Parts: sequence; C-alpha cells; structure tokens
Amino acid sequence: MATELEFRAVTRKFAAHGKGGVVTAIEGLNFSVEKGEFVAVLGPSGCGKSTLLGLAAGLDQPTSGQVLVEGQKVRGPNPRVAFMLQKDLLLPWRNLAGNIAFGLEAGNLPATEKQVRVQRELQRARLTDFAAAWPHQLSGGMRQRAALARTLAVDPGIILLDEPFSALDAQTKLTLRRSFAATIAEAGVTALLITHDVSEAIAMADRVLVMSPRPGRIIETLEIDLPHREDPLARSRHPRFGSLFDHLFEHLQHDDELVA
Amino acid sequence: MSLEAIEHTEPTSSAPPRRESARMQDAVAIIAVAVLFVTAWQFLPPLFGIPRYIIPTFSQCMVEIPVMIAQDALFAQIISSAWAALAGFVLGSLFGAACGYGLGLSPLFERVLAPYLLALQIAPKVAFAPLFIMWFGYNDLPKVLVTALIVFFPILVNVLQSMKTVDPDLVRLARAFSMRRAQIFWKVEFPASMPSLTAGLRIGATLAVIGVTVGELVGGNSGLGYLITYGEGQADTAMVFDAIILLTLLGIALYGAVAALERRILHYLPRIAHS
Ligand SMILES: Nc1ncnc2c1ncn2[C@@H]1O[C@H](COP(=O)(O)OP(=O)(O)OP(=O)(O)O)[C@@H](O)[C@H]1O
Ligand SMILES: [Mg+2]
Repeated sequence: MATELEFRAVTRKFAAHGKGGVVTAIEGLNFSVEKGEFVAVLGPSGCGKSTLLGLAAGLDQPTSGQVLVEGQKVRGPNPRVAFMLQKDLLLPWRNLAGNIAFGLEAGNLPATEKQVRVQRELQRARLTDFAAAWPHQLSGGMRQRAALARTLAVDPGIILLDEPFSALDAQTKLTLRRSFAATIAEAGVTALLITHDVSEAIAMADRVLVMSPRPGRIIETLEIDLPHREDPLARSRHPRFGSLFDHLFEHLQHDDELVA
Repeated sequence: MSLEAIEHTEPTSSAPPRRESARMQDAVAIIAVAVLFVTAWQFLPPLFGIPRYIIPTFSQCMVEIPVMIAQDALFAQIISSAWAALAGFVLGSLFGAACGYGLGLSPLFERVLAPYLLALQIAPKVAFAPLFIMWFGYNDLPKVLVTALIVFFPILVNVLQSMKTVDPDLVRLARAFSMRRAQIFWKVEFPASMPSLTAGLRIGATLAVIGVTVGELVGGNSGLGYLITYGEGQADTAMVFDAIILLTLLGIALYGAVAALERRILHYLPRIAHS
C-alpha cells in the first residue's frame, strides 16, 4: 500500500507569549497514514493536534523534521490535502452550491467540470434539495455535511478533520458520524480525524493514535479491527468495542496523571 | 432513516402571522406622533405670544414654500444641494473604501499611517470649507470636497476594521485551497466586509448633508444652505425653517437609498432576510 501522509521526526516550536520563551507544541512526531486509511488522533487539549493538522495542510512549516504527502515534501498548501474544522466556515453570502464550489475556484477547472463536481457532492451529502439554500437556513448538522462536501469537491487525496462533530448536540453527532463515515467510505479518500472523543475514534477509524500532553508525541497506536467502518453506530454495538475503549481510555487517563 | 429525518429540518420558516398587525400599530402610532407635533407647532407659538420671526408656525412655513419656488428658484437650489451631497458622498465613499481596503491589505502601511489618520479624523473637517473656497473659488467644488472629506473617514474606519476582523480560519481555508492573495481578497475578505461597508455608508449618508450644508453656509451662492444664510439676512425665519426641513428630507432620502442598497447586498443575512 502506498503511503499518503507521513510525519518524520516533526517538531514544531512556537514563540511563547511574553518572556521570549518557546512552546514546543509537538516533538519528534513520527507516524504515517496509508492510502485509503482512516486514522483518528486522540489527545488531551493543547497537545498539538491542530498544529499537526496545519503542518499537514501546508499552512505551517515544521521547526525540524519533514512532512510528506504522497511522498513529496510539503512546502505549502497543496491541492491533494483539504481540511475542515469544528466551525463549518460556510460563506454566508453564498448559497450551498456556491459554498461547495468555493475550493474549486482556486484552480482553473472548466465551468462544466465544476458544475459536475458540485452536483456530485450535493448528491453524496444528500443536500441536492438545498443547493440554493443559504447557510443560515440550515441546521448545524447540514452545515457540517456541506463543509465536508466542499472539502471532497476538490478531489483531495487526504482530508483532515479537526473535531468536526464537537460543536453539535449528542443526537446530531451520532447521525452525522454515520453520514460522514458512509460518505468517506464511498469517496474512498484517506482521512485523518482529530478528536477528543474515545468512542468516536473507535467507531470511525481503522487505527487510533494517542498523543501525549504537550509536547505532543505518539504514545500509543491501536488498530481497530472491527467490521463496518462505514457504520459507526453498528460498530459501537460490537462486543469488542468496550475493551478497545478501556484500553485507549487508560492511556488518556495515564496522561492526566502526568499533567497533575 | 429515522435519525436522518431529524437532521433534515426545513429551512427556517417565515415570520409569524401576528407581525403584520404589530407593524400596523406601529405605523398608526408614528403618524399620531407626527400629527401631534405639527399641531403643537401650529398652535403653541402663538399661544405663548412667540412672533413669527422667532418661530413661524407650520402653516406659515408651508405658505413660504411657493414663495421660495417663485422668487428663489427653490427647485434649482434643492437640485444643487442634492447633486453636491450625492457627488460628495460617492467620491468620499469610493476613496474611503479604497483606502480602507488598501490599508487592510498592508499592515505595514496601516501601522505607519495610523497616527496621521487618527489626527485627520480628529481634525474638524468642516473647518476645511473656507480653505477649499480659497483654493477653488465660489463654485460647487468646495462643498463637494467638504462632503467627500466628511464621508471619507467613517467608511475608511469601518472597512479597515472589518478587514482586520475577518475570521483567520476562513483565510486559512482559502489558503489551504491554494488560493492566491487576490483571490482571497475578492472571494473572502471583500464580501466579508460588506456589512461593515454598508454600515459605514449609512453613517456617511447622514454626514453628507452636513458637509453640503456647511459648504453652502460658508461660501455658497446656491443650494439650500445658501438659502439659510439668505433667509437669515432677510430675517425670513420661515425660509430658514423650510431650508432646514428640506435638507433633512434630503438626508433621509440619501439614507433611505443606502439602506435599500444594503438590504439588496446583504439579503443573505438572517436579520435582513426575515425583516
Ligand atoms: N500560532 C501559534 N503561536 C503560538 N503558540 C501556538 C500557536 N499555535 C499553537 N500554539 C500552541 O501550541 C500548543 C498546541 O496547540 P494546538 O492548537 O495544536 O492544540 P490542540 O491539541 O489542537 O488543542 P485542542 O484540543 O484544545 O484543540 C498550545 O499550547 C498552543 O498554545
Ligand atoms: Mg485543536
């Protein structure tokens, strides 16, 4: 299998506020994500998860080490990588179809191809009836689905999801996880999901990476060899779900003790 | 499918039906206040023995209008003031917006020029009117320039502020999609600034009439501001009142036009879509 994304001994330091100090957000980070794989990253708050995402998206450069996408060193934003955040970042002045087309406007795709992609993603997100709706007319869950559609419309090799469900209520979260899992499986895209939620990680991913508190390093890797990646609800009812949960939770607990 | 149905809520429904009657009540109350005010204006000054050269009554002011049309070319004066207000407003808005976006795009320029802009903003702009008259003479240019100068700052400040408060994650998103700087401006920052720009335009619309009035008071030979000084010289208080009223109406018209433009531009905002 080909490697889609690779972090090689990546360290990122930031100038700390005041006192001219330095904050090491992540240190010596090593991991890779295979093509088509769905990897979840779990870690305590402030351990550098969003930093990692910025590096993978090419919005930020490592202090040392290398980030590679499809074997190429990341030097800047790259059309093979697309991300979405907890905030849907839909443009309020564009209707849904216009928002999904947003990422396509950077390149020079012909207008007909843009149309086709937008229709394809509207269908995949089951938002075709809302193509002309304005963002404020949609529920939070629909807005996040639209954000995923915008992310997938550019045909990325890998999508980076930074806590996409954490602003939603529990009910919507469950529905949306299933919707996202199905959409991502159908699109066959590689995914890196950042989350705080242990059961979300197990329900959705092929593999879970656990990060230590800052400076973030990978302290545990767990293969989730459960069936039905495209259906997180079914997965969360699997008999082995509980033991996987306990295993991961223990590692996170351990980190809390280190912090205390 | 049942879980899916929960998410598929319809777009926000239209306003509740009781709003129409509430709006009617408001309109009636507003008209009632106007009637009350005009009545008081008509009957209170004579009641207290105030002479017409101090406060002319409503009917005296209305009677004066045909006289002004006949003797003082009132329509031409209105057009002169309206034209100057509009020209100054457009000129000031264009420059203000251009400078706001320019400074917003260049943090270095903004830091260097900020103190000078602040100083210029504090300087009383109407005081430039005599200067402009000395430079450009007794024509329409000085009043247009004073108006433009007054309109310039609120628009610059609003646009600059909005450029600085664009959600950085939105810009990161655009960058992640490999957008160039110009694309980020036109597709994200410029449209994101629209609510601030139109808010600035609304302030500018109210200030434009002040600019025109000052320009005409100081050295005009045309316009409603000129009629104010002329009426003052004639001790014709009704004429002064009428000119003030007409200038106010001019301001309201300009403001209304800008507000209508705003509703068109910002149709996507819930507060406007629902109003
Ligand atoms: N641009 C920056 N300048 C300075 N410090 C930064 C910057 N970005 C991140 N940091 C610091 O790096 C550390 C990691 O931040 P990051 O946002 O990656 O954490 P996170 O794991 O995503 O946290 P959360 O779970 O709360 O989202 C934090 O201590 C943060 O203060
Ligand atoms: Mg984060």
